[in-house]
Amino acid sequence: MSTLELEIERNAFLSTLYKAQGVVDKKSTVNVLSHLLIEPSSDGLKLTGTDYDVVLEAALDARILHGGLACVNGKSLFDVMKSLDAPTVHLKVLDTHWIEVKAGRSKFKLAGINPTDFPEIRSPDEVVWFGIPHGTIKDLIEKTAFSVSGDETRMNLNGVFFKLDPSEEGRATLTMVSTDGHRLSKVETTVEVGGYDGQPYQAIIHKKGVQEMRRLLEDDVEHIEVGFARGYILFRSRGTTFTVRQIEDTYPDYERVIPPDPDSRIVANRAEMIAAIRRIAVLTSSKTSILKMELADGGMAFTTSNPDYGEGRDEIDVTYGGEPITIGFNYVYLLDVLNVLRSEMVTLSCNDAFSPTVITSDDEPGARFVVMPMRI
Amino acid sequence: MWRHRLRKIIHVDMDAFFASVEQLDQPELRGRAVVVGGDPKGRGVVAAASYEARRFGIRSAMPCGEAARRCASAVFVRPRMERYREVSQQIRAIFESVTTLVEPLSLDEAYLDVTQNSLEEALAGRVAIHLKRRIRDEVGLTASAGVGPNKLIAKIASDLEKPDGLVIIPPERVLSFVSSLPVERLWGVGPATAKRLHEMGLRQAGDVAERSVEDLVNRFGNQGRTLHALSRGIDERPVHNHREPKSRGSETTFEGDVTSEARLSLELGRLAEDVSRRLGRLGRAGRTVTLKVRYSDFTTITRSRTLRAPTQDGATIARAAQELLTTATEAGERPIRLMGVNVSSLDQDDTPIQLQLPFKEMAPY
Repeated sequence: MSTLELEIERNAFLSTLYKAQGVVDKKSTVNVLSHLLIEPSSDGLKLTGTDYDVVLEAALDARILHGGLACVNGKSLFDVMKSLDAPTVHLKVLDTHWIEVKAGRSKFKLAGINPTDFPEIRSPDEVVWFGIPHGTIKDLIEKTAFSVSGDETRMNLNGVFFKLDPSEEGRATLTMVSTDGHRLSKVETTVEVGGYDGQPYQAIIHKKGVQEMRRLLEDDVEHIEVGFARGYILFRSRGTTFTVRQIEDTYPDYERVIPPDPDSRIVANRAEMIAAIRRIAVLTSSKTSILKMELADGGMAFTTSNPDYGEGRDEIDVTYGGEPITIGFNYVYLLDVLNVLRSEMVTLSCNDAFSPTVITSDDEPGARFVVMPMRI
Repeated sequence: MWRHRLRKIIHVDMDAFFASVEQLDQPELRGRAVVVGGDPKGRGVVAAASYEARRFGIRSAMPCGEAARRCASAVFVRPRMERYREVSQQIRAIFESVTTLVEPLSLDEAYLDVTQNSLEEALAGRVAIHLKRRIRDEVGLTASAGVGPNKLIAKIASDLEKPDGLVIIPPERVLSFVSSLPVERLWGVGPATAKRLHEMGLRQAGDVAERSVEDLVNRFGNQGRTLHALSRGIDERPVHNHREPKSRGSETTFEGDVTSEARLSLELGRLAEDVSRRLGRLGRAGRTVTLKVRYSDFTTITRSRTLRAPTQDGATIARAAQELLTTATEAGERPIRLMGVNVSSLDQDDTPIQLQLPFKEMAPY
């Protein structure tokens, strides 16, 4: 039996292992899904991990001293690699499938399992790849990831809806939408997409894939490659590929819950609003997270009244000329939106205490956030 | 432990309520045997029967087919819950004009604590007469009332001279009144407890009263203590002026046993919408969705699932119920006779409800 033996640069290995941490199962150490498969490839090393919703495949530079396979717990390998301070690491598979790690004067033996137990990964065929600017995809994901539903009875909402549509001059309009039934985020932007064939594409990206995506986005690269395939959507950057299962369901008709032109528009300073909400949130009930937003001529006040804790009130100046109105909100929903916007001022549009409120910003025209009030 | 404060409790029970409302609204039904319930050709049951129908032996919960056989001339009417609720509200308003301590048990029954009352009437019997008269004059229906020093006595008394009855049990007559009652009449005594009491040779409340508390507790646990008190006509349960509903549900018995999963899903959607409407009327939301399934052989199972947040939404309720149907029942394999959906763990009255985005197609499956 051949036993894998190799040398690898510690920092590069660590950064790849970091990207794999979301994919490996950390709850169990014996479960094969908590393990990473290490195998030699044409240009170095290939690392594979999966939790069945997401597959990570990473190519790395390494000096293969002896061919073979290894299968080791992804979290222990990451933790050990993180603790090392030598620039180069020496890995060698032992007879028991365990793996010996040597770096400088440190030496570890990590428990491993038989690589043949690792599930066979079937790569999707016929992937259509596009290059999307890093900043664009990062913005789309940051503005939508927070409002994905965690309710597993609503499978189609357990992911971010993503679509590409042809726009003028060979460019593409990218749209991402997420909703948990209480709130909805929609971001739309038109950009130059590398290799775009002018066809419409769409997918519901499983929320786990969205989380893994964010790890890729920490890379300092110009483009992220996005691939569409039957049943999957793929993300690739610097030799690391995440293959994410699509949620094969229909996404709800989100346009119908975005109110077209509400009665009253309120312009508020975003930072002031966040500060006031945070102060009042101190006294809100942890069960409902409700606060009341009172609007009157020229002013917006946040209030809370809780028989167990006490009361609070905070005011900010806003442009509002309508009738006085009080709307209940889950303050977390408001903060989530205000925190992903970047402009100084934000615009709130609301009709009444029972209808969707829309939050937008003039500087970020493609983004619309809809928040349903709480009935007080 | 004896409470010195003497209470005056009235139990008001509307006479054949649903059927009487139908006779009130449709004069041509007056004097006729009226059965409110399902289709006599189907498998629905009797929800209410007018006194004319009861003379034929027609009773609540009897299959409608059976009722039709007993009285060929009976008029079968589908229930109109909206209307009954409306009339019930009218009656409740009359009660509440007399005392704030009104505890409705259902649409047609309520306890009233009239120890203090707005009529400033010391005699509870006169308050009962006043209530009965107002219900007749203002609503057009008759009610039976029982008056006593506690709920147990008032409730048993209201049942003694139906319809349009009034039975007053003054405190000094309580013991003799209770003693002669069969044990089945005591609150909390169902067929199982009654059987065990009978086996001990205890048939009337007076027989139970003669046993010691210790003896009863040894045999019946905590219920023994309650039995002992009730058998002596002692009942300290207060009248709660708002009875907290614990759940809202809806169920249906099929015309024929159903095996088709598509049909079951469809029915589930309807039941969930119905429960959603009921919760809406209550202004409450609940977290626990319970599915009840009765197979053709009458084996009945219930399965529950607790959601992350309270809901009132029909589609959400349907989704949870559908999941239970698919994963926790033998739907599709064993024929199903009855199916019910219930939502419990209701939030507090003043708990704010997170409103849902108005998606149309968030329908179940």
